[in-house]
Amino acid sequence: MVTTVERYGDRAMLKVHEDIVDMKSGEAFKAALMALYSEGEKEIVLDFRKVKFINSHGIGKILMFYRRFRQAGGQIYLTPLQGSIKEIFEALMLDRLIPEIKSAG
Amino acid sequence: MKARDELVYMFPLLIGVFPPLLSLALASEKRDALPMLLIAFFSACAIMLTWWISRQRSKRALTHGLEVAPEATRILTQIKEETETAAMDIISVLGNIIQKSKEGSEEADAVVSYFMGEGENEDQFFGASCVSIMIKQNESALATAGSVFQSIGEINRDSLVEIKSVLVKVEEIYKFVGEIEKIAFQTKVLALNAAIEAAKAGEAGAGFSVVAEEVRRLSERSGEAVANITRTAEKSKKIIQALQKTMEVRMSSGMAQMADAERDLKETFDRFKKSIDSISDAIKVLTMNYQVIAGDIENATVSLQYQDMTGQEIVRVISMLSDFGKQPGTGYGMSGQSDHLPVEPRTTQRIAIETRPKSPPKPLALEKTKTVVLPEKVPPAALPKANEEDDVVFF
Repeated sequence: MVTTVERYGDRAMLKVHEDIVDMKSGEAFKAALMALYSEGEKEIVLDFRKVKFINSHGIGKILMFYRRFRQAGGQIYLTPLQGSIKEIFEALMLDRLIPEIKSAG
Repeated sequence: MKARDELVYMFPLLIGVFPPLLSLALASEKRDALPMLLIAFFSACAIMLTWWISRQRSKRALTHGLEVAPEATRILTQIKEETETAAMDIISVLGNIIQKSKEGSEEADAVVSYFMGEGENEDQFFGASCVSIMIKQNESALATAGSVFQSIGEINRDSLVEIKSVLVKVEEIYKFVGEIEKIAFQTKVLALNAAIEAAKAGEAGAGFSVVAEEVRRLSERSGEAVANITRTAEKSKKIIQALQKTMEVRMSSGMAQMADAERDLKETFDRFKKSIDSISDAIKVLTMNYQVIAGDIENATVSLQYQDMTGQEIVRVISMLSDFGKQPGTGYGMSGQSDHLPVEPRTTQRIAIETRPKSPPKPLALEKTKTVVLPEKVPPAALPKANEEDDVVFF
């Protein structure tokens, strides 16, 4: 399973368990985001703590749903990033776009 | 059909054929009425026998047709249901294509807006694009580098001024050194004079004392000159040390600034490169998405082809039923044909579907049908038209 969802109050945390590096994982990631969006969730916390790498199969989906949630009056957050995934987000300046929060609750 | 029904049908014929023949025989030569009566009787029997044989053949063909018709109806019904299922599959595939296309387009637009932007306009949610931010950072790094280079120029100019100052001090040293040389020379001359005067005077040593006094003064001046030289040398040393220190500090600062500027430039360009790589990667992903879409369209095309073939199968069954309608007229069992419907081996079309690389969403259950084998594909234009059928009336 690529992702699981946990709820903390009004926020839904999408935990990513695998690297998003191919079509299969990318589609699973998109399906999870789509489900949360379709359910009317407003605030999503993306948890990449178990992920070491993400490429365009995942980045494009993050940007697509970032815009969707913002258009719907919502927001996407990140759990504190570490290691290589942090470097990727910094290199792509996603760390300045998506705010980090230390607690999902 | 029961025998009583046969008699019921035969009775009008007997009434219609036999009495006229009998009347004809009685009306002709009354002497020979019996032979004519017999002729009329056997003629009527022959007609009835011919009619009965034809009727039996029609019955047999009809019986066979009645056996086939339900199966053909069942097949047609099955084909209809499977055609509907296939149509639903096609609609589903087309729906997936549309959905993927929309999402792919939305994702591509988000990626392009975030990384590349749209000219000078900032995206409502992404703000300034990555490229525009990097360009600004690059401009800032270049400005810092320019400042560093300017600072290095100032350092060089200050160094030149201070080096000139050192040269002036060195000139002063040379001046003092020359004076010392003069004093040394005069001291040497005075010493010589003192020696001469001392030799002349003999007992009169007054002159020697004057010379000795002069020599002493010269010695003092020499000491002062040496002190001056020492002070000047010390001052020069301090100036040079200060210059060295200043240059070291400024050079260190300049080097650090240059290193910072270089690192900033490198990081900026690394980010730029990664962004470009990411864009390139994203384009590859989008290309793959469209390849998937193309595959879906291909599947839809295969399904549509399958739909077309299903239609052809229906046409064949209709043709078969149409042929069934014609067969009694041509006379089953009278032209050397079998009493069964014409059967041709099914080979090409359905096998072609089974061996194609991509199967349709759901194979037709018609493959399992054993009782009726459909004939080869017949072009619709070649099928017999309704008005071309033989004018055969069974009843």
